[in-house]
Amino acid sequence: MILPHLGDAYCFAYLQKILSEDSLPMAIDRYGIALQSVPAQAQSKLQYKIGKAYSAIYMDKRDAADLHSAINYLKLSITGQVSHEEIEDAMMEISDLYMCQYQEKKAREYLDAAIYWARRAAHIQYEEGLPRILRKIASLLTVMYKDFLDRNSLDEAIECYKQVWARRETHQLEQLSTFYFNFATALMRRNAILPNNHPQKRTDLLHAIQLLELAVALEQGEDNLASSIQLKIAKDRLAYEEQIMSTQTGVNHQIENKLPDQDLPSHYPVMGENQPNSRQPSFIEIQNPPQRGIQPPYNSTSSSPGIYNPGYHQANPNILVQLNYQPMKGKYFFNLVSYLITSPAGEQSRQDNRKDALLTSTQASSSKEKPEDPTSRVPIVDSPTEITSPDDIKPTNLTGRVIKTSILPAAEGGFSSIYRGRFGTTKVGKSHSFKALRLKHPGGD
Amino acid sequence: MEEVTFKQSRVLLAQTTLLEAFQTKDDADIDAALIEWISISNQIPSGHTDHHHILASLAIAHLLRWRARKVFEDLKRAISLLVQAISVQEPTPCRALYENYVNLGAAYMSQWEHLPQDPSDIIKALDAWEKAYKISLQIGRSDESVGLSVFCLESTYSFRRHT
Repeated sequence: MILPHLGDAYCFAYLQKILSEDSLPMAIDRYGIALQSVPAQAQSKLQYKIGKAYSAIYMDKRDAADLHSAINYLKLSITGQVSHEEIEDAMMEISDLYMCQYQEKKAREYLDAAIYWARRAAHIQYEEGLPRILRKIASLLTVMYKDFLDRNSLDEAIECYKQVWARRETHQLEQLSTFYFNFATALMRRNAILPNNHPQKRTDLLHAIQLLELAVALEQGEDNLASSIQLKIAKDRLAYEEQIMSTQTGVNHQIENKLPDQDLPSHYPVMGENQPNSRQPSFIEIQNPPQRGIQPPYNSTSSSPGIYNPGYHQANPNILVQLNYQPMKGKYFFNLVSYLITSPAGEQSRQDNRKDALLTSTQASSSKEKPEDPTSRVPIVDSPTEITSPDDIKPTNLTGRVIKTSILPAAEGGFSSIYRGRFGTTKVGKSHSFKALRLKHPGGD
Repeated sequence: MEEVTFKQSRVLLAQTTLLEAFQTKDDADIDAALIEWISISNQIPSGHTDHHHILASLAIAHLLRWRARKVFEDLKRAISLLVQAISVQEPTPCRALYENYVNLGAAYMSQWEHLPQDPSDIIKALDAWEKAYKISLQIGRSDESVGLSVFCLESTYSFRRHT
């Protein structure tokens, strides 16, 4: 039948940007006519292609109807006779689409769904793609941790990264330095929230340092800026923690720059019953996402207005993203579409982590000028849920001082100044650190 | 019973060699088919009623060799022959015209894959395949499988053997 080939050609034309935006609807039309006349066992392939085409249209136009059509067709396709690679790709595509919905609506059930479908993809017996899927799952779980402070998600993300790490010699890992960076950043996040006396705290940091050293060694020139900054932060943090330990125990802890000798599990139980996010989302209970609260400096990722995000270019958030993750580049259409679609969500963690690293660039640079900057030795918040919202801290609760350190480099025009402070709150009785952006408007501060 | 002329028997023989090459995909068989069809095409005048059949069959032989050895000249020659065959053919919808458009579209897609810097081949392929689709609706072959085809572009596009 000529129709599927015609549909494919329209898709190629779309990718080559040689036809108008109607080329994908034309492709869907041709696939759709073919779908009505092929036997049942041949329908899955066409449903897969229709789903991919709808997905690409959605990415262009952001029409919810296209998104729902894409998800419906892709779900239909995985029940039929398509290859393992295509089933895996369809599931990852569904995951990406739910992630897009999550990014638009910020409702947790969409993130649950994105994680669920990525986990299902990990069950496809397509071993070659497993590291990529695990990295995607880790990326989504990291978002779950950052947005909902779900500690289990962070642990699971790290387990996923460990699974990838275990396959580094048997599988071709794309963007290896990105993987090292993200893995290290996840470990640093956990290090930041673990209590000081937790045995895993130091292990995570040592492992992160080694990973970042690998990332820096792999990258060249300016590309390793984020990794270098993150490495410096990790080493500074380790030095600080060792100083604390020395103060408490009187023992001088030297940096043991080696990986922890721990047995990695042979396979990560991605759909195990004990996994909090392994259930398929019901879409019945919609939980209100908890407020982000004030994060430790190394976890400062909130983009809420008024919260200081150092180094984050307000006008162009993508300006800091220098390494594009292009695992599918060079392959033919459907993989190319897959790249186009998976990239935003797949890179979420990387972008955020890059942002995180560069968020702290001012801290790193200022520490060069002022090695004893007190804010670089801020105690880690043991439980970040104690303060769930900046609103929880009133001016009358605060004690401490603020110093102006520099001008925010990423804010053009010099309207923003960086203030560093150390505060205590009478409300919770603990010291917390945060960064604030003082905006100067024409009418006043 | 009508007597088979010498030329008709040569065409039958050439059809057989082409079918054999199509099935065996052997280099020697492909070369044999190509030699036969080049020889016939040199003997059939351009005004002959079966001229487009000869051109299309010769194009198939070139396409078979293109697929086997990836000599780009074969692909270019096949496209030229198919365009020529379509141009001398009656525009009346028929199976031969349908197959020529199918093969021409596949050849253009193959050319684009070989020279991806020129995406205009995709448009040409789309044009050829849309015409093939319309003809298939008119001759009642829109549901016909292209299973007897010679796969080319990573099993995506196909050349139909002209019968």
